[in-house]
Amino acid sequence: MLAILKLLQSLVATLHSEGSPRQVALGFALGASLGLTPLVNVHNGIVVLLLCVLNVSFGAGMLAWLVCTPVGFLLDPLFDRVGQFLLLGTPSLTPVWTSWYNMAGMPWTNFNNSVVLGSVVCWLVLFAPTAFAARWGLRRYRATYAATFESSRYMRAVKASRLYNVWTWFNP
Amino acid sequence: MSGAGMPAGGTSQPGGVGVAASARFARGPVRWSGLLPIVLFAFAASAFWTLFGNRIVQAVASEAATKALGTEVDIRGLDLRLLRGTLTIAQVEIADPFDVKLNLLELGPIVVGIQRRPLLEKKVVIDSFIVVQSRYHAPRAVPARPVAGRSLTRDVLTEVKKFTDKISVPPLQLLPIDTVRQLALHPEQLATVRNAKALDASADSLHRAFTAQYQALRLDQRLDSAKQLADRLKGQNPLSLGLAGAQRAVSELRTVQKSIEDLRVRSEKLASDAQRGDQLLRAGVAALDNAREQDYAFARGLLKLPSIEGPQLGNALFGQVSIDKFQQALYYAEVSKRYVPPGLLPREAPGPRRMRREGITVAFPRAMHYPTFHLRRALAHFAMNEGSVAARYAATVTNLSSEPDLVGAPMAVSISRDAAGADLGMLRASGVADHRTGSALDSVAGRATGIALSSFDLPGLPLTADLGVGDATFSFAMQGEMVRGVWALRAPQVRWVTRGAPADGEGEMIRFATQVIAGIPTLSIRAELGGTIDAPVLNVRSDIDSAFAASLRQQVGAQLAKAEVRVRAEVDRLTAEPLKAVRSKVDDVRNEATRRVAESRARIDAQKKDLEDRLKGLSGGSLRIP
Repeated sequence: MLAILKLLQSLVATLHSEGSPRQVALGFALGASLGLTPLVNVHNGIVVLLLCVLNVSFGAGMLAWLVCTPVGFLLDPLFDRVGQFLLLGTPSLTPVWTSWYNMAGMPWTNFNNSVVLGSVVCWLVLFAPTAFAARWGLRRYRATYAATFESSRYMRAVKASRLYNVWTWFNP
Repeated sequence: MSGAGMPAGGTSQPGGVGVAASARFARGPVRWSGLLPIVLFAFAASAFWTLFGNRIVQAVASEAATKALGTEVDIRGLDLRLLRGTLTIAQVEIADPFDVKLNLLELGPIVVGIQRRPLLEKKVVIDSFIVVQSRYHAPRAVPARPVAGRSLTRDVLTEVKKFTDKISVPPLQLLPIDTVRQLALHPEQLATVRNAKALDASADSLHRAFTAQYQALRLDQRLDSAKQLADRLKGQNPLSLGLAGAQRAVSELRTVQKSIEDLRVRSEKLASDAQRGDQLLRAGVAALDNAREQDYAFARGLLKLPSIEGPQLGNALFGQVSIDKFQQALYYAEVSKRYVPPGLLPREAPGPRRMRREGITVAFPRAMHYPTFHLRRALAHFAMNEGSVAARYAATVTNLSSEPDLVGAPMAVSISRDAAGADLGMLRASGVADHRTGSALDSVAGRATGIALSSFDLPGLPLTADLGVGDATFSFAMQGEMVRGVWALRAPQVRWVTRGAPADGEGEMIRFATQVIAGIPTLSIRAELGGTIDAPVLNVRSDIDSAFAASLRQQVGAQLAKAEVRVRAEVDRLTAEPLKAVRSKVDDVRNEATRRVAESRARIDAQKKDLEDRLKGLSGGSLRIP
């Protein structure tokens, strides 16, 4: 229940943030990595760093994390197959993996794991479509329903919460 | 709040000081205010690592080692100093995979020197691994918990179990002989009867095939046709036939000659096939004799007649204790083989355990680079507290590596007794695991003299062999699928301890056997393992085999001979009829084939000669007809 409430709060806060659709969309596309790929990995540390430092919507990133986590679990078999295909089924890439495996720092990325590699590759492939889809969706929402929802008591309650204040620190 | 990334005309939000601050920093593509939580997080993470890092590493290492070895591994007092490249561990307990109440090893304190550069590549290269003190086979305070799930070592244990199950160890049969009265055999239980039926069917099949092949020759038709031509040309010559007639006759003769030659060739093939069939039938008949021997043994088994032959006794008395020794060596050889595969091809392993799918993790070793794991040299001092070999020892391990191809040397282990040890004669053991080639070699050898040998129970007898002080040697090698091993011991002052009286009704023979063995003052055992992983062969000899067998023969020889006669008579009675029938059929089939082959050969040869005579007659001996 708490997760659903947090999800709704994130959704509302993101849709009504002051970020431009481009910023929100990039934040969402970046944050998708946190849900689609196994969380405790170096690349996700970099993603969190980028979400904090780049002028993109941090809230959208968190929203994407929540939304994409179940999707990531569902798509794990696909990620595994993609990863295995790249690691073992594509001999032309073997020199690349061998080089990475023996390069300082790179093995800590766990890119030699089929699920990690497969999910990261899928996330990168889906990055631009995700960003475009998020931007289009946000524009449509803001043009149609945003004003009505903005004046509703639900939105006032969300804005009044302390969590929202903290949130705004990272909103562009 | 506004910023560079904000849409023009965006509405301001209530936010207080924090919002105002973020608005100042949110200009341009970079939001510098975002660095603040990162720095805070970094501080928190550093503090957390300082407080709990070692505990985390300790827990992770314990879990990983438990998973890797398939037996509980407990690590305590771990202190990792990455910047200095040192690791100290107060104690490591490795539970015995074969006995949950024992620790295979208790190590500690341990001081480890780690190279820092390979850590950047997620590889571990250990320069030195010094175990200050350790114990072998010490009792555990709490029994080891079973390792959940499937693990490589669990698979190895299953494989080892399969291997030992394949080694045949006959049970020691020492029940009273009067059970011969209970012998009840059914013909279908006997291999002789089953084989006789199969041979009967084979003889029928061969007979049918031979007959069909013989008929396909059309011997009579073709020989009759040749005979007609020969008869027609009888007494003819070129003058009587004329030149053209003589030419036609010669041509006809040569055509028929070719046909007869073809018939001869096919007849010879028939003879060859008949000979092969004959060999098969002979082998079948010979196998019947072997089957009858099996049936005698089977019937003896039903009667539970005592084992009095030397090889049977050796395997029955000392087979299991020998297998126990070899199975431990095989376990470690299999673990070594699976963890250290030869070559530098990408290696797959299950991914880390997590909520998400594990996937597979692939290692990509490269020549002239760090292996994923390399222990250059380890030195351990340990104590064995068991009575058998209680003393202090020193062990060294060199070049233990996950990729021996990269190290360029085999792993070597050696153990020797510390000079300051207990009153032990000599102990040396060494092992080599060379996995640099496709045919991996794992071998271990050890020799100890003047040591207190472990006592063991004799199976089927209420006796424990208290071996006292003696000598022992052990060697085991596995190369590819081949296994070789020798386990031998010599106990010059063995003491036989009785463990209780046998049950009523089965006591006579056991009591006698107990008396005989208890009177033997020395014990030497030599167990030899050979063959392959799929078909291992164990042969155990001991110096009590012959003495025990002779005493048994003297004691129960007469009764045993009577029982043997009854067993043979019963088996012979049940197998006589099927044997007689099948032998008769086999003889019939063989005789008929021989007769037909000889007859066809003779007829073909005669006709061939007749045709040659006609041809000579037509050619006038020297005249050549074109």
